[in-house]
Amino acid sequence: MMFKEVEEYIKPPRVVHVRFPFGRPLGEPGDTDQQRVIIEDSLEALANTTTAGTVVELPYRWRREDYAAIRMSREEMTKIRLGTG
Amino acid sequence: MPSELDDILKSPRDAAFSRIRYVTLHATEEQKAGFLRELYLAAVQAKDTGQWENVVEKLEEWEGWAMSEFNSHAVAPTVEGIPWSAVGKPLNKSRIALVTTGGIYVEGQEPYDLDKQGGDFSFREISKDTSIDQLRVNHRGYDISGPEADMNCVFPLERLLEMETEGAIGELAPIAYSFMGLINANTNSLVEDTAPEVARRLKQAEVDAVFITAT
Repeated sequence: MMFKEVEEYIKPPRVVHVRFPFGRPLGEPGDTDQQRVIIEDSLEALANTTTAGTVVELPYRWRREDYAAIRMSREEMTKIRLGTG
Repeated sequence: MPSELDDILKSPRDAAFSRIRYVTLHATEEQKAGFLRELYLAAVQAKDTGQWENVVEKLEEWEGWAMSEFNSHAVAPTVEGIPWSAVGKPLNKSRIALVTTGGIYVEGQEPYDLDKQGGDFSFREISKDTSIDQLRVNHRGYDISGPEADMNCVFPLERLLEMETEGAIGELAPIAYSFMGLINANTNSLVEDTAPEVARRLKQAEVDAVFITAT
C-alpha cells in the first residue's frame, strides 16, 4: 500500500508500505525486476510477520534504485546460503 | 471556487506524482502558491548545483504534507480488531491468490460503474489463464496510465505466473479478483456483501494466502 495513515488506521493483518506514486504499487510499467522485488519483499513480510497489524516499510525510493542489482545480489546470497555458489 | 493553481495541480494524468494533486484539497491559496514557489526555487538551485535530488525531496515533502492533511480531514469507517491467521506452510507450497482494488476487468466483462452513487462495490473474477492483452482498467481515483502501459504494475499476473513456474510459490490460485477501490458512501455494501463473498470464494478455493494490491 502507499498511504501510511490509511494502513495504520485500517490495520490489515499484514501490510507492506512502499513510497511509490498512487497507481504504481508494484513500480514502473515494464520494470520486471522492480515488480519482482516488491512481490518477493511482500511475500517475505507475509512469512515473517508475527504481530497482527504490522506495517513493513520498504526502503525503495521512486526511480532511484537498481532493481536488477538488488535481485542479483539476492541470488548471490541465496547461493552462498545454500552452498551452491 | 477552484483556482488557476488548482487547474495546474489537480489532474492525476497531468501530474507526474499523483499525490501532489492532493495539495489542492486542503491547502489555502497561500499554501498552494508557497508550494509552487518552493518548487521553483529548488529547481533553480538544482540547475546551479546539479543536485536535482533536492527537487525530488521537496516534492516528497509536500506529498507527505498533502496526504496527512487529507487524512486528518477524512471520515474513516470504524475498524474493530485485526483478523489474523498464522501462516501454515512455506511459500513454495502455498496457493497464493491475487486480489486488487485497482479497477481491473477482462475485455467482455462489464466495466466498473464510475458514476455509481456512493461508488461501485462490485468485483470481477479474472482467470489466471487470461491473456494480459485481454485485461482492461477503469478507475477514477488514480492515474491509470501505469496499468494501461503494463498491467503488472497494479495486477502482477505475469510476475506471479513466473514465480509459480520457478517454484517460488506453490501455485497461483486459478481465479484472481478485482475491485474498484473508489468507494465512499457504499463501504457498508463492500464490507457486508461483496468483500465477504470474495472471501468465501477464496476459502472454497482453498487459498493459503492473498496478495492484495491497492492503488
